[in-house]
Amino acid sequence: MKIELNKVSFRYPGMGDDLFHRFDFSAKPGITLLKGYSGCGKSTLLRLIAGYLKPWEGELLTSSPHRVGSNRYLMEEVGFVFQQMNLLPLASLNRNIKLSGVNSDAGRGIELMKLFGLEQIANHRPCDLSGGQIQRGAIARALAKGPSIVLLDEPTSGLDDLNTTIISNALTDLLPESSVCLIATHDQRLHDIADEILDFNKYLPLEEHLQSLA
Amino acid sequence: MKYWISINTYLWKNIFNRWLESPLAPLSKVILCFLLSLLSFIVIGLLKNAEEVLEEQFNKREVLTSVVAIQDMSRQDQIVKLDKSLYREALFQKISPDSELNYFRRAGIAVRDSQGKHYPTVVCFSEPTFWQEEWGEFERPKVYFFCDDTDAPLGDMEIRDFKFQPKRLPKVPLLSTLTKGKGVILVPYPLGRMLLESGFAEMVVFRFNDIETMKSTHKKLEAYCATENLNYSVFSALPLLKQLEMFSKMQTYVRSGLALLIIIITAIVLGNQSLLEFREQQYQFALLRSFGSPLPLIMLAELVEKVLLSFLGVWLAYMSLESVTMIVRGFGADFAMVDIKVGAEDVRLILMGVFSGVLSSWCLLVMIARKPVGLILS
Repeated sequence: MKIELNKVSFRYPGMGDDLFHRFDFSAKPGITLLKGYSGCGKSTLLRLIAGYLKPWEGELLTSSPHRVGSNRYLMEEVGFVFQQMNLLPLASLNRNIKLSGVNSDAGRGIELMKLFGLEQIANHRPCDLSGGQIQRGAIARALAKGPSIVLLDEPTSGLDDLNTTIISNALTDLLPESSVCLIATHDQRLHDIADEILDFNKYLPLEEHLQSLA
Repeated sequence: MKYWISINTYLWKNIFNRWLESPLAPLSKVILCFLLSLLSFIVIGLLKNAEEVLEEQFNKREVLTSVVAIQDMSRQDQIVKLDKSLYREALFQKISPDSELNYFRRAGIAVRDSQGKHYPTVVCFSEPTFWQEEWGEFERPKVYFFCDDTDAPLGDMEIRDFKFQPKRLPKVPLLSTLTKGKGVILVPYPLGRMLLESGFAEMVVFRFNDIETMKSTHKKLEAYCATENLNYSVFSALPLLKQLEMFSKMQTYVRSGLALLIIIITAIVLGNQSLLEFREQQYQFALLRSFGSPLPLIMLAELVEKVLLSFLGVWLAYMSLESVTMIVRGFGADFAMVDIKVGAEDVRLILMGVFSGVLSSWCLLVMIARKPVGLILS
């Protein structure tokens, strides 16, 4: 899988300046960590790649046969993990995995739940689970359909070392070689699994960041 | 397919869960549509009832009948006037070919019975059809005596010195409108011609099939009489019919108004309520969309939910209409004394109104729901 952003500009509604202005980026297969200050655009980049947000200028190219942001693209290509509230509240963990996409393989789902230590609570609803279990469940759901683009937004924030290790191991073991995995994180514990670490601060220097926060 | 079923199952699970969590929300939608529909059914039913009663009354009074009394005030000879009158009769037949026409001429000479009582004499030239249904074919040569009291002994009658014994028949309503007395002598042509030569007054009775023909014939008649300088008076229920027509139109306006009112109220109230509910669900829907669930599928479930609830309200209103009328009747309300009948077209109208209201509120939701997933899940 190949992802390329050509001269992409994006700004949130009501925002004066562009968050990305004629931004070029390309992602190679493997795990890439996106690091940087809060608000520098890490999560926005993930959302742009998933097609959840649309740039007002430039183009986003992938090697997927489906249009970026289309239902097929989201169902078949993208596995996204949000920072919080990842699971559908009325569905059990098992059901959440089944609902994540047409390719969701029941066998693979069970296997992933075993790997993430969730098989005992497969029929529990998110309200009965801890934060770590929810986050592991969300990652299991993202990986269950075998996506070629895995986008994780702060997947380990607030998780203990054990949970972080389980997630790290799962990512290294389960991701196919051809798939692109982008992780927006501040977590140093994930450095070990990264093929590449991209410092987003270079796009938004500290002075500008402080200015934008002010 | 399995995936779509799973998504729909989840959406409906979500809807039922929402109902269980706050039952007042779906209940209020049902009650809103119930009350609006009930009110509309009652208003429409009462209007319809009133119209039916009026129509029935009008039909009883032979409302589509017009009597035109004409008097030729010119100084011409009576024979010339009679010839002109015969020409008029043929002309009127042409003016209104579809209507039933009875032309009468009241002679200036009255008939006297054996006790010296005088009765008006009417000469009929055209084929008198108004009693044929009751007594069969009219026997032309006979003189008929139409009177209220058919049991009274009948003696000889005379016109000038000519004595005859007429056949007695009960007075028909049409002749009652022409003559006020207890009886009337009907003399057929050519027997009556000699009576008319000493003066007469004309009366034309039109029986129309519909109000439009009635209106147009009235116009033509008035135009003709004005041109010919004839003294004429028209007796008909046309002004009342026009009122009935206005009443029917008013009913249409009221129906349209009610439908519009339902659309507006349903759209505003349901729209506002749905918006609040949708905001609570927004994150969850965005999450579903983030997996690739199509927005139309999610929104369709929302629409179906609202349509089901609102139609349930209409159905309950329709079913409880009779019971509600009985309850109101129990309180002695005058308007509830009549049976309120609601036709299929009225139910359709209310359903359409409710559906349009729901659809409008849903369109508002769709506009909001189109917000990019990335902006909701940020």
